[in-house]
Amino acid sequence: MTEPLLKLDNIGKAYGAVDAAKDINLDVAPGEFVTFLGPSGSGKTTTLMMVAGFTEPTAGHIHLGGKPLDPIPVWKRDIGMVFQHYALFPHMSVAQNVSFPLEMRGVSKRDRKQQVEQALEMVGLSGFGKRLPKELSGGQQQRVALARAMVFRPSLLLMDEPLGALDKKLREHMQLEIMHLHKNMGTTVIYVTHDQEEALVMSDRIAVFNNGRIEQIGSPRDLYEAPQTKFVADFIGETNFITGKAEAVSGQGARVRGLAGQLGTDLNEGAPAVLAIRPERLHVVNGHAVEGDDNSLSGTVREVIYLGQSRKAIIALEDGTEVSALEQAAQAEATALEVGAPAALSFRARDARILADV
Amino acid sequence: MTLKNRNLWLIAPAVTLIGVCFLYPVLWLLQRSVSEPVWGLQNYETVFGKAVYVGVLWNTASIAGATTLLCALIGFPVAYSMVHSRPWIRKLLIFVVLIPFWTSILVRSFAWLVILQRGGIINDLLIGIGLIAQPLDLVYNRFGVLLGMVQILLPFMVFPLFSVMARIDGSFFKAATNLGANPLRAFFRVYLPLTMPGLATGAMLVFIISLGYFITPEMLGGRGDTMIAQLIFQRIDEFGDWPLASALAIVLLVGTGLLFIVINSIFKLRGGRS
Repeated sequence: MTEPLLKLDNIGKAYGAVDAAKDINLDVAPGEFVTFLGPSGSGKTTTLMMVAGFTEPTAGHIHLGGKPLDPIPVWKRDIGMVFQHYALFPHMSVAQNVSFPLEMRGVSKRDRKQQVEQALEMVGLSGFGKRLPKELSGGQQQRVALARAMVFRPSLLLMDEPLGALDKKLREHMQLEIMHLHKNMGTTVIYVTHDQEEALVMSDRIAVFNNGRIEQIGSPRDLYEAPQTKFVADFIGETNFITGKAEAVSGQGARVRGLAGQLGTDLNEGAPAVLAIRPERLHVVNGHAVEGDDNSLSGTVREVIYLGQSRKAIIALEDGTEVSALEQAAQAEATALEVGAPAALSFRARDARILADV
Repeated sequence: MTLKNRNLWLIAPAVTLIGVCFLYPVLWLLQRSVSEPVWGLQNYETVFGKAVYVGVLWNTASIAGATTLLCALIGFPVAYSMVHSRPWIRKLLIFVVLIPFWTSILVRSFAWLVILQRGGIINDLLIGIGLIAQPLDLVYNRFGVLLGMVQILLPFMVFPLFSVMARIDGSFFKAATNLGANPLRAFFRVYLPLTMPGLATGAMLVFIISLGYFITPEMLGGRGDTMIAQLIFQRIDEFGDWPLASALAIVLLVGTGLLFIVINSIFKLRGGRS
């Protein structure tokens, strides 16, 4: 990795005895799109606010472009931000809003006008300058907020759940638009969301937050295919968990209840563990599992859900654990499943992860 | 016929009350002001022509203006603190602002007299600790009038401001600082304009109520602080001069009305934009 643009060095924020964020370490490369993903109260927004300067860290240091950010007040940080509800100034026109950061930086009137026009063109809102924010739709307001946060070419752009207020279709459209803007402008972005799908679609890397800490940082593929903690496996996508104890721990692999999988993190022999397997990695057949077959499970079909392009089967194992298996339509047609009938599940050891059960 | 129209008779008592107790006397005053001693505008010519009366009109406007300005300057930080403090402090502040509001204006004006007069609490104290040798003139002048009026009218400024400020999203200020405005610029460019509806409502209330003030300037003011309501009283009480008093009353009413319309229209323009 090249010299990081943003470096979070062990930062934390404590309110009395409560840690809103703790031991946050992260390097963001120039031009990278990093998402903070986590449930509400997980510390992702607190961390973002510390970078923006609205919240002072109680531990650690932040560096931007190699320089310490801690002594610099919010208004001198040169970090653009898109707020959750846009925070467009309601008493100013769209052009005045976009012009505001330039004005604060003493840009001449003529240059301001030109740059504002450019910024509005960039977000596809040329000619909307004279309108008031309230005269625009939610998506348009979102774009104005983007233009305003980018017009002064900040080295870093922060976005705090910017699409939360939009409906699904518009949200998906705006996701693509933000990604294109990010690519074209080369801006470094930190994006906060609780929507894991959004994070998977948009990010170069995702930092998964839980209980004030980062659980795992990695590319969307890493997080989905190789989660290191049970929380990450559970939060991103759908996962089946089979609980037990870690057995036969050796190098890369281990077993839980005799089922083999890849080790997510170091585990001691006998430690409480789960085997995590994605529904689409399970193969379903009618009848009982063959005795002695590796990585296979027997159960009873509870529910069969038709999803158009795929089929989801909920299968109850002998101990009552419900497991869901997802199969593509073509594959599903080959094995007709009946509710109440016995079914056997099998999977490959390399598709399963063995994680600490906490 | 809609439900709304069918129930129109419900406002009949209010209409009757205003018609009988307000409209009729006003029309009666209007008639007297233009018909006595002969039909014509001679009473209005006196009001706007004689230096004494013009002086009183000027007093009225300037006292009301100063009161409004002072209420805004004092009320703004009070309202701001009320919005941005913990619930119990907020309750306390609301209570403190409201208590004087529940006390009679007459009592409060007398209380100011006790506090401010030459042998009053403040002068006694200052002389007692040796800070001054001669008592200060704190009352029977413009200072006394403004002090009394500002104290009485402050709630009319604080509460509209409070209700507007309470609805201003904190992220506007954050956004302003994030975009490069230091706190002072963020305040003047973003926060202050957003409080305008409250400031305008409060200012209009305070100014219009001040215009017709009588008891406070009468008790705490000096010769040079006579306001229009006092003059009206004087004309009737001392001289039985109903025609001129009527003309003064109509001038006050029309002036207030015009002001209301002007402020309202400016504000509607802004309101439409914000």
